[in-house]
Amino acid sequence: MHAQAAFAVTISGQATIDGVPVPATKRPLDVGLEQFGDAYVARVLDLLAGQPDWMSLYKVLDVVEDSVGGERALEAKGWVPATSLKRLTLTANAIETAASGGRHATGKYSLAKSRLQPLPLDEAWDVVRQMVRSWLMTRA
Amino acid sequence: MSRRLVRVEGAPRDIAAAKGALNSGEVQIVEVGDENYLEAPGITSAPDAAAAREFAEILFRRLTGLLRVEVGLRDP
Repeated sequence: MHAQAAFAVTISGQATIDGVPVPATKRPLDVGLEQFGDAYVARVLDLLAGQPDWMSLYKVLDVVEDSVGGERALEAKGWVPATSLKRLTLTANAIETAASGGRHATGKYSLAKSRLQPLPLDEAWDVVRQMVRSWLMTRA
Repeated sequence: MSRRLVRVEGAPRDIAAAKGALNSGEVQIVEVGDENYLEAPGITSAPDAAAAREFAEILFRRLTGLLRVEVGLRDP
């Protein structure tokens, strides 16, 4: 009688170059660390260093937009829903947000005049975080 | 070249998350005794202590931004 054995082979370990571990897949963090000399990356990271607020999140959106060629070009990337970007812009600029760190204190932008729903700050942070993670990977 | 380290302070949870995120690169948070320190080639290779400090301030700022994005820290 012959016994049949099933072998499961597991290969594990960490690739290294000259003893320095090499991440299997680059993360936004890895790209960011490598691209500190990229003026756009530096500006975005400087803006994200402080506590996220409407001013900083909108400025991050501004920098990323500028780096990819404008609002339409950013929307076309599909990193985050275009509606989320519009809601972020509306809420950051709306007079109703003025007392909680919004960018403007005049009625030029108003939630009341828009059909879009406002974006809570926590959700705005999630949108910006997701956008920046995708954007960083393109700066490698 | 002597090793230069910059002390890191913060919530233990955030420092643990930062250590985990930085565990495979040249920029690392290392434990010396009971303290945590940032170690990076740019800090060690700076020509003097003032330049090391200047580099460390920039690195800290940008690293904080990166860690917010990478691990979702809100209060590092």
